[in-house]
This record gives sequence, structure tokens and C-alpha cells, in this order.
Amino acid sequence: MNPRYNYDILLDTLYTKKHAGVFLSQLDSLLSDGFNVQIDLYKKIEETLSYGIAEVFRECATANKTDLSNSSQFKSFIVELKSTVEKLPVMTMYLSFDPSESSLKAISSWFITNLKKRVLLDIVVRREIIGGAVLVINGVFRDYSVKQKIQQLYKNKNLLS
Amino acid sequence: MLIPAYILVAFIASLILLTVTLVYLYHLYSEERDFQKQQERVNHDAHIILELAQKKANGMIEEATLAAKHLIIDAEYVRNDLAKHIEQSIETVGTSAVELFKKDSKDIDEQYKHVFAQLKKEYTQQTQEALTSLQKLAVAELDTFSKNLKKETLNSQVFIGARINEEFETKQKEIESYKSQRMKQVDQTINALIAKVAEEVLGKVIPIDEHEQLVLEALENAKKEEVFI
Repeated sequence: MNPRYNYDILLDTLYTKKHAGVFLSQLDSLLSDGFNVQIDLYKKIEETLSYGIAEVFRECATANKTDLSNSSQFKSFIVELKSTVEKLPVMTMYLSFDPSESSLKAISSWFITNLKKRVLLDIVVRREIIGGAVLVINGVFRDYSVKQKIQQLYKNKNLLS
Repeated sequence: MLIPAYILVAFIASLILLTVTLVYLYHLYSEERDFQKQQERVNHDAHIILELAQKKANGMIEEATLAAKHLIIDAEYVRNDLAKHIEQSIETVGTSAVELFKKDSKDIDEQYKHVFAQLKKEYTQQTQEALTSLQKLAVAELDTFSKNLKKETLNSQVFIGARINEEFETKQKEIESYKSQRMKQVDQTINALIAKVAEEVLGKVIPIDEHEQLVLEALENAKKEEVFI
């Protein structure tokens, strides 16, 4: 069953598991208010979501021909959005630095560009790995850190000597 | 006062007994005196006999001594005669021998010289042979000793050399092992220090954009290794 909505521009704003968690909470809040006919849903969106996200949210709804003032369409849009976000795969990634928003975007974009799929990054900061990244994929650690490279260099050097 | 009869009888009997006893004692005395007299007489006779025997013996001794003297004198005479006779015989023999010696001395001298020369020659030859034999024996013994000494020396050198090589190899292995162990420890220490320094310093000095680039390279490597499939 093909999805009725294309959430790409909205999902492009979600880089991490943490972002997704906050966003899902906001969607839950919006969804609970969606049953209240007395509330202005547009206004509620502005109040619940951050400025940038709220704007993208409205653009996404417009692109999907969804009338957010319509309670039924509103709820349908959010429920499906929520389900899509919850289904996004999560990748744990150990980094040696606390990545900025732009860094997260660059990393997240790499997956879309190179693997044609979205992932939510579960970032864990570990200074001792020096640089690079340690990935946890399906429960398996793959070490691509600078520390590991240095250790490998020394190991090869010792083997050679 | 009357003396009883039995006492009187007893008195008389005692007197009789006393009288008998005295008589007997006198008889014994007389016999003893006669025995002594006889003994003195016998001793006197024996003394006379002994004197006579001594006189006779002395006479016999004197006679024997005189006879012995005569014999000695006779023997002396005989001895003197015999000595003279022997001296004369010796003188005669000596004179003959001297004459004989004088007569043959020249021949004897030549024979002696000849024999002596022969003996000297033989002795010299034997001595030379003995010396040569001894010399050969000494040379052979010395040669054998020298060979044995050389052989033993070589054996000792080989043995000592082998022991030295063995000890050297053992010590070299121990040194190599110790060196390897120490180098390993040093490497581990250096690695730990470098890792610590890298952790403390390198991570901080890497710029953010460089960190991003390193993460993207990590993802590229993971993709190449088909980790995401």
C-alpha cells in the first residue's frame, strides 16, 4: 500500500533519534488536540512545533493537498506522519565531538545520497575515539575511529619490525 | 699317825717309776754321746780322705799342666818350621812368577792392549748403538707425546669452543628474549602514551569540519565494506 503522503521535506529536518522523539511527542500533542473542534489547529501547530518545523510542516501539508483546518485530514496526516517517523531505522553512532546541526545534516544527507534511505542517528559522544566514527549496525560494532587507525598503524609497525 | 697303806703303795710306785725313768734317760744320753763320738770319728776320717784326694788331684793337675806345656813347646817348634817352609815356598813361587811374568810381560801387554782396544771398540760400538737406540726411543716418545699433546689441545680447544658457542648462543637468546620483552613493554608504554596524548590533545585540535570529513570517510569505508547491506 503506497503512502498517501510524501513527508520528505519534513523528514529532512529530522536527523537524530532525539529529534524524532521530540517531534513524535509534539505530534502526539497535536493529535490529542485534533479532536477538539474548538481549537484553532494552525495556531496549535505554531505553538507546538518550533518555527522552522512548523513552516515545513505547513509546506508539507500543502504539498500533499491536506487541509490542516480540517480535523479529519489533520488527524490522518499526523497519524501517517507519526507512523512513518516511528518506522525510520535508527543507527547508533559514536563520535568524538558534539556535532552541530550542520554536521548532523551533512551526515544524515550522506545516507540519503549514498544509500537512498533515511536513518535516525543515535549520537553518543566519546572523546577517546579521537575522530571518525564507531557504528553500531544490527547490534555489531564497526570501528572506523582515528584511535583504531592509530592502533592499527602501531600494530602493523610492530609486526613489520 | 698312821699313813694309809694305799698312799704308801702309791708313793713307792711313784719312786719306782721315777727311778725307771731316770735310768732310761741316762741310757738315752749315753747312746747320744756314743753317736756323737762315732760321728766325729767319721767326719775326721772323711776329712783325711778328702785331703788325700785333693793332694792327689793337685798332683794330677800339675802333671797335666807340665804335659801341656811340653805339647805347646813342641807345637811352637812345629809351627816355626812350617812357617819357614811356607815362606820359602812362597819365595820360590814368587821368584818363579816374577820371572815368568817378566818373560811374558811383553806379550801380555800387547795382548792386553789388543783386548783392551777390542773391548774399547766393542764398548764404544755398543754404547753408540745404545745411545742411538735411546735417542730414537726418546725422539719417538717425544713425537708421540707431542702428537698426544697436540691432539688433547685440539680436543680441549674444540670442547671449549663448543661450550663457549653454546653459552654464547644461550646468552644471546636470553638477551634477545629480554630485549624483545623490554621492547614490547616500551612499545606498549609508548602506545599507551601516544593513545593518551592523542585522546587528550588530538581530538581537541581537530577542527569541526575535519571531524565531519572523518565521519563521512568512516561512512564511505563502511559502505565499501558493505556493512549497510
